[in-house]
Amino acid sequence: MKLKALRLRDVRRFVEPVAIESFSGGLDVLAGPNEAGKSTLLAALDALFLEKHTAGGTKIGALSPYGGGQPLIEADFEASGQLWRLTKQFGRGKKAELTDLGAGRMVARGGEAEQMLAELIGTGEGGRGGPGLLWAGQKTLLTPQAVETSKKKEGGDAATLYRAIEREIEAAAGGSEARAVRQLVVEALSKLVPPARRTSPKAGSPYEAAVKERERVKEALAEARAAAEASAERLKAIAEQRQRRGAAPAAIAGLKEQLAAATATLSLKREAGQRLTTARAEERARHAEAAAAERELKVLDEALQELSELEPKVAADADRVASASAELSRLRTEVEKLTAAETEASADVQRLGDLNMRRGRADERARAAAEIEGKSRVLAAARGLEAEIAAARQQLGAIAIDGAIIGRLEGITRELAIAEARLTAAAPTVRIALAEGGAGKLAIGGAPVIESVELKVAEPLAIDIAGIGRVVIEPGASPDRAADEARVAAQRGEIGQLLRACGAESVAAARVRQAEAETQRRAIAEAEARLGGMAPKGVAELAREISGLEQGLAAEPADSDVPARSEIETRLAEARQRHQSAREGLDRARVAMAGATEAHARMQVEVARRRERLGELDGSLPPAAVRGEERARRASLRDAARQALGEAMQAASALAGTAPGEGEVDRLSAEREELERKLVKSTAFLAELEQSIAKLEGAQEQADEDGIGARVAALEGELERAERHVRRFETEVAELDVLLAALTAAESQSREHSFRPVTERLGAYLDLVLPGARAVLGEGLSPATIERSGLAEALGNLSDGTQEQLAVLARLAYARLIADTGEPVPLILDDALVYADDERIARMFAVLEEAAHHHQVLVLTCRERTFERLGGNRLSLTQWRPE
Amino acid sequence: MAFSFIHTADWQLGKPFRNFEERLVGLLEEARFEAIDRIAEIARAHGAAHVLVAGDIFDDRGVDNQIVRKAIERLARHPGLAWHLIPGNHDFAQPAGLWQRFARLGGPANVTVHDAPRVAELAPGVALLPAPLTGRLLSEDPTAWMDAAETPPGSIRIGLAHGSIQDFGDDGESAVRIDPARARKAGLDFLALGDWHGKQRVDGKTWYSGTPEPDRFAANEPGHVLAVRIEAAGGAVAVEPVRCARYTWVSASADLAGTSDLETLAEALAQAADDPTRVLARVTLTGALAPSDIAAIEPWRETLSARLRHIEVDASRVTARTGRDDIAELAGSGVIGAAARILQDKLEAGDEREAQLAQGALVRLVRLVRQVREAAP
Repeated sequence: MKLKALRLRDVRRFVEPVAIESFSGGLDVLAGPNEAGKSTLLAALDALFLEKHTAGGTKIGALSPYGGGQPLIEADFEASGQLWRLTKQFGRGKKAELTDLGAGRMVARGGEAEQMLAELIGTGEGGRGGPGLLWAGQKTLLTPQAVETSKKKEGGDAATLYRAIEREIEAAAGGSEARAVRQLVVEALSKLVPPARRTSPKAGSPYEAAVKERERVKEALAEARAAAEASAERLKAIAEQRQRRGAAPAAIAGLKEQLAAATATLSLKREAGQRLTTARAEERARHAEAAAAERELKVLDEALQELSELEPKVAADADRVASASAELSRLRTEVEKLTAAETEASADVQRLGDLNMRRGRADERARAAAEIEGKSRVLAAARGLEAEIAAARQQLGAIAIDGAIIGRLEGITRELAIAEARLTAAAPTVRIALAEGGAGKLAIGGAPVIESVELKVAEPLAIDIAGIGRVVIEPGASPDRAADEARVAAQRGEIGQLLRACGAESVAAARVRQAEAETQRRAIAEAEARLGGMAPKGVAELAREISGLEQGLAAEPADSDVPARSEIETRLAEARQRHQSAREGLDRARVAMAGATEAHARMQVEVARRRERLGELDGSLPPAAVRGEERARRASLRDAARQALGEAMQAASALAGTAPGEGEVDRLSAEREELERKLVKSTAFLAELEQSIAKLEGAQEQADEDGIGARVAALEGELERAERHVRRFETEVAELDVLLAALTAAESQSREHSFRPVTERLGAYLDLVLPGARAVLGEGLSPATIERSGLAEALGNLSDGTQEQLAVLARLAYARLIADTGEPVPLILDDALVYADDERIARMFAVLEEAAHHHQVLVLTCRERTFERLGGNRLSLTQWRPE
Repeated sequence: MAFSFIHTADWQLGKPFRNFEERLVGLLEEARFEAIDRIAEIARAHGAAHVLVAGDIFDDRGVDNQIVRKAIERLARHPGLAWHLIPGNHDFAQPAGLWQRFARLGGPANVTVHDAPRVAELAPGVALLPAPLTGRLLSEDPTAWMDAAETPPGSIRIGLAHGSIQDFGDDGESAVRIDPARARKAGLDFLALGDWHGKQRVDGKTWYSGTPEPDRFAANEPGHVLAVRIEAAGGAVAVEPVRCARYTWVSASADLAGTSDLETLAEALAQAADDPTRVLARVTLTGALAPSDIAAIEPWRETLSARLRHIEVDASRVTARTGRDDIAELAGSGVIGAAARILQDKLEAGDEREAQLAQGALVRLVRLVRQVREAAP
C-alpha cells in the first residue's frame, strides 16, 4: 500500500476539514512545530486503516473534537496496482466506503468495505496477517517489548510478524515440543535454584534443605568428635587421678612422720639454746665479779706504793727549802752591787760626751774665720776685674761700627765691582805697544806710559803723545752703559754716605775697625768668664756671704779650755766600755735572781702538795697496823673470783657443743613449717583429687548415658548420606543447566535460521549506519545484541541513540521484508531519531531514502531544521471541501 | 572329656548405620541385638554351655548406656549359657570405661568380662586364656603371655583374642597384631579370634568366626558363628560354621548391554536370600546404553528398591551409546534434535566431568521429551 492523500474533518483539533493531497508514495515528510496536529493525523490514519467504522467507545471518543462531532476520515491509496479511496465516518452516521478511483466507482461499503480493505492491505484474517501499517513512535522505541504499531490487542507489528515466522519454525522444528521441554527444565531448575544465581540452592528448596542438613551434620560431627575426644581425655584423667589418689595417703603419712620428727628436733634444739644462754649469763656475772676483786686489790696496792714513795721525799723537803732561800739572798746582794757600778759608769759617759761637743764647736769657729779671709781675697780680685771690663767696654763703643752698615757696604761694594766690570768689558780695549825708545813719550791722564799696556776705555781716555798731541778715545754711548754708569755713580754715592756715617775713611778702613772691635769683644768676654768663676752668684752676693760669716763668728763666743779631740775620744771609749760591762753583769745577776725566786716558789708549792697527799693517803688507808692483813684478804678474794669465772666459762663452752648454731633454730622452724604446709596441701590436694575424680566420673557417666562418644560413627554415616543427597541435587542442577544451555543454543540456531530474511535486510541497513556491525535478533524479532569487531554487546548496554536507531532499522527491515514478499506497507516514523547525532542522522536519512524506493516512508517530525537535509517530498496541509 | 562351645566375635552392638535411610537404620541396629538370641539358640542346638566372644561386642566404648542396658538384657535372657567376653579394639578396657559401666549397669551373673590376661577355668579341665585389649593400638602381641601361662596338667587350653593375624593381609580392623603360630607356641587346643568380620580359618586350631550379623557390603562370608568341639586336650578339634545372619548384604556389579540385563540382575539380587526383603544390595553398573535405556535405570532402581530391603545403584559409569540414529529417532531435526546433538558433541568431546553432565542432561532430555509426548493428545 502507498498512501496518496489523507483528508479529515471533526478529528480532534481539526474541526474544519483539512487535507494532505501531495503524498508521493515514496519518502514523504511532514515537518511542523509541536501541536501542529501531527499526532491527530496519525491517530486518524490509525483509525482509518485499523479500526472498523463501527468501533466506538473511548477509542473513537478520543478522536472527536472537544466540542463534539463525528470524525470523518478519507484516504486515497495505491494497493494491488490500483488507486483506491477509503472513507470512514465514525460515531453517529457511521459509514465506510471503498472506491476504485481508477474505475471511478464505489466498490464496497460498510462491512464489505472493511473486509475488502483488509484483503487489500493484508491485515485481514484471510490475508498474511500483516500489519497494514508499521509505526516507529518516539517514546516506545527504547522499550523493545512495548513496540507497537497499532493499538490492537494482538500486539505490535513485530509480534505479528514473529507469529508468522514462528509458525514456520514450529512447522520445521517441532518448536512447541521444544518449548514444552524447555518449560519443564526451567520449572525443575526453579524448584532447586533461584533464577539469577544457579550456583546456590533456592531458599526453601529440598536442595537447600539437603545443604543445610549437611552443614548441620558437619557441625554435629565436629561437636561429637570434640565430645569423644573430651571423653577420652576425661577417661585418661580419671585413670591418672585415681592412680595419684592411691598414692596420696602414704605420702600424707610420710609427711606426718617427718613433721613429728622435725617438731622434736626443733624443741630439743630450743632447750639446748636456752641452757647455753643461761650459762653465758652466769659466765658474764662471774667475769664481772672477778674484775671487781681484781680492782679492789689493785687500788690497795697502788696506794701503798705511793705512800712508800712519798714519805722519804717529804722528809728531805725542809733541807731543800732552806738551801734555796740562802741562794736567793746571795743573789739579791749581788744585784745591788752591780746596780751601783753601772750608775757610775753611765755618769762618766755623759760627762765625756759634753766635753766632746764643746770641742766640736770650737773647731767650727776656726774654720769659719779662715773662710772669711779667703773669700775677702777673691772679692778684691773680682772687683778689679769688674773695673777692667767696664773700661774695655767703653773702648769698644768707640770703635765699633754698626754691623748693618758694614753688611751694606760689603754688598754695595760687590755690586759696584760688578757694574764696573760690566762697563769695562763693554769698553773698547786700547793696546799700546811701545816701540823701542817709546817709553814715556806717551802719557795717559798725565801719567807717562813706560811699557806696553792694554787699557779698557770706560770713559773718555786721553792719550797724550808727547809732542804730537792728544788722542782722546771715547767709549761709544749706549742706554746700557748709561744705566750702568748711573748705577755706579749711585753706589759710589751711597758708599760715601755710609763711610761718613761710621766715621771711616774707606771700606777697607771700616773693615779694619770691625776686626779691632771683634778682638775687644773677645777680651771682654774672657774677663767676664773669669769674673763668673770668682763670684758665680755675683760680686754683691759674695760680699753678702762674707758679711754673713762674719756675723756668725761674732755671735759664738770663743771657748779656750777644751782638751784635744783625741784625748777626749780615748777617755770616752774607755768610759763606754765600762758602762757596757757593768750593765751586762747586772742583767745576768737579775736573770739568775728571777730564776731562783721562781724555783723557790715552786718548791714551796710542791712541798705543800706532797704533804697534803701524804695526809690523804694516810687517811684513806686502814690503820697501818692492819694494812698487810687487809691486802692478804683482798688477794684471796680475787683468787676465788678467778676460780669461779673459770668454772662458769668451762660450763658454757661445754654447752656450746649441743646448742643450735647460727640461725639453726630459724632454719629448723622454717623446715618444720614447710612440712606442715606440705601436709596441709597434700591433705587438701587429696580432697580436691577426690572431688575432681567424682566430678569427672559424674561427667563421664552423663556422657556414657548419652553415648556422646559413640555419636561420631553415627554422624559420619549421616554425613555420608547428607553429602550423597547434596551431590544428587548438585548433579541434577548441573545436568539441568547443561540441558537448558543446549536447548537455548539449539533454539538460537533455529531462530537464526528462520530469522534470516529479517536479519539479512537489517544487516544491509545496519551496514550503512554502523559499518561492520552485525545484529542478532532475540525474542519478538528485536535486536538483542550487536556484534562489533567480534565483540557482542547487549542492546541495553548501547547508547540511547544507537538503541533507537537499531529499533528504527529493525522496522525498516520488517517493512522491506514485507515489501519484498508482497504488498508493501507504509512505515510511519513519528518524531523518531531524537537521539541521533549529526553524522548518524545523515546516515539514517540515507537509509530512509533508500528504503523509500521499496515502500512508502512517512516521516513526521517537529525538528524542521534537522530534517531539512532529508530529501523526499514535503507535505503540507490544505483545505478540503468534503463533497 | 570333650568340650563344646560357640565362638563368635565382632557383634558391634550400637553400630549406627546412619548412612542408610532412616527406616533401615533401626532395623539394622536391632538385628545385631537379635543375633544374641540366635547365637543362644545355636548354642543350645549344639549342646554348648559356653559362648566365647572375641572382642568388639560393642561398636564403640562410648556407646550410650541404653545400648549397654539392651545388651545386658539380651544376655540375661539366656541364664543357661555362660557368656565370656573380652574387650576388643572398639570397646577396649580402661579405668572408668565401658566395662566398668557394663558392671555398674548390672552385668548379669552369666556374663564374665575377661578384662585381664588371666587364666580362667571354664569347666573342670578346661582353661580359658583371654587376651583383652586395653587400647586401640597395641605394640605388643596381646596373646604373647599365653605361651608361658600355666594351666592344670591335662587341661584343654582355649585362647580368646582380638586382632590381626600377621601376614593376614591388611583387611583386619585393628592395628593389633597376633602371631599366627600362637596356638602352636602356647599349646592351645583352639585360638578363637575376633576382628576380621568374615569367617576365616587360619589353621585347624585358629579361626576367625566373623561377625554373626553382617554390617557392610563385603564379600568375606560374614554372618556365621562357629560351633567348636574339642575332644580332649591336644585332641581333635571340630569346627562347624553355622549361619546366623538375618540380613544378606550383596555387593554386585553388572556390565550392561541392554535393559534386559537389568532384569536379570534384579532377579539375581532378589534371590540372594530366601526372602528378598532381607537383601541389602549395592550395585555398580557399567556398560554403554542408548540414552533411552539409561533413562530406564532410575525407574528400574525404584522398582527394585520396593522389592529388596535396600539397594544402592552406582550408574555413573554407564555411558550413553554414541550414534546419531538414536538422537534422530528421538527428536528429528528440530530444536530438540539440535539440543541433543549439542549434548552428544559435549559427551564425546568434553572432559570426564563435562561428558558425565552432558550424559545426564541427555538422559533427562530423553525423559522430558517422552513426558511431553505422553502428555500430548
